[in-house]
Amino acid sequence: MTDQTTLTLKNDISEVERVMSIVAGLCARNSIPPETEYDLNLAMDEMIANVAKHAYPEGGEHLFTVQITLSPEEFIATIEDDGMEFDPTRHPTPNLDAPLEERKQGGLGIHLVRQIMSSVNYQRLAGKNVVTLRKKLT
Amino acid sequence: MSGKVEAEGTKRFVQGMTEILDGGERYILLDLTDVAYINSSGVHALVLVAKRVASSGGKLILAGVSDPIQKVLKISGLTSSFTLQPTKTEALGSFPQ
Repeated sequence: MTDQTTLTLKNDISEVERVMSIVAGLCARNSIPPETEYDLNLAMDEMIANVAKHAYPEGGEHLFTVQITLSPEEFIATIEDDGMEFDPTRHPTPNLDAPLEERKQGGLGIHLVRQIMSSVNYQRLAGKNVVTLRKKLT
Repeated sequence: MSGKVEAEGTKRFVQGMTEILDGGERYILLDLTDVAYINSSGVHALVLVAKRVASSGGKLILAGVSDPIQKVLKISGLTSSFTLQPTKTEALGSFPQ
């Protein structure tokens, strides 16, 4: 059985909680193990927060969409925003070997998402960033 | 600490820790037994605290770090940057007397 949800979100960091609550519901309905649920929550948290914080530097309220599809085999989330062009697949990996005192904020969230998901794909389509996250469940 | 260490909680956490460190504390134990979740903002907050503690010549120990959070620290390349202890009791025993 496939469980699908489409959401329209504001570019507001508070939307992260809403998405995480929906992911929790999906995981509960589909008996997803807690460690996988953690990864899905983290990936959605980082990507939604990224859009909310960085996609619209001019400010103001903007809407973007998230479509989540959960099948027994795979979790797929497609995030579409018409904000500033941003390709997470090309974002530089932070220097993970840097000593603590040289650590800087930035880039870690995207790195985490790329590591915990099976794939992250990006397209720029009709002026929109379209990011597709996939995680195999079998 | 309990719940989640993420965007909204991170600011309060860093503010609280800054007050403690400004007060002269150098040996910090963070018991994460009841912390179920951390994201990149939370990791950054831990890095900020660890930097402050290190610059004061103190010691930071994280206790009761769950497997998923240890995984996040590992992917973040921070496993060797933090001292982890299984429990608060063991962490307390590893501070200088």
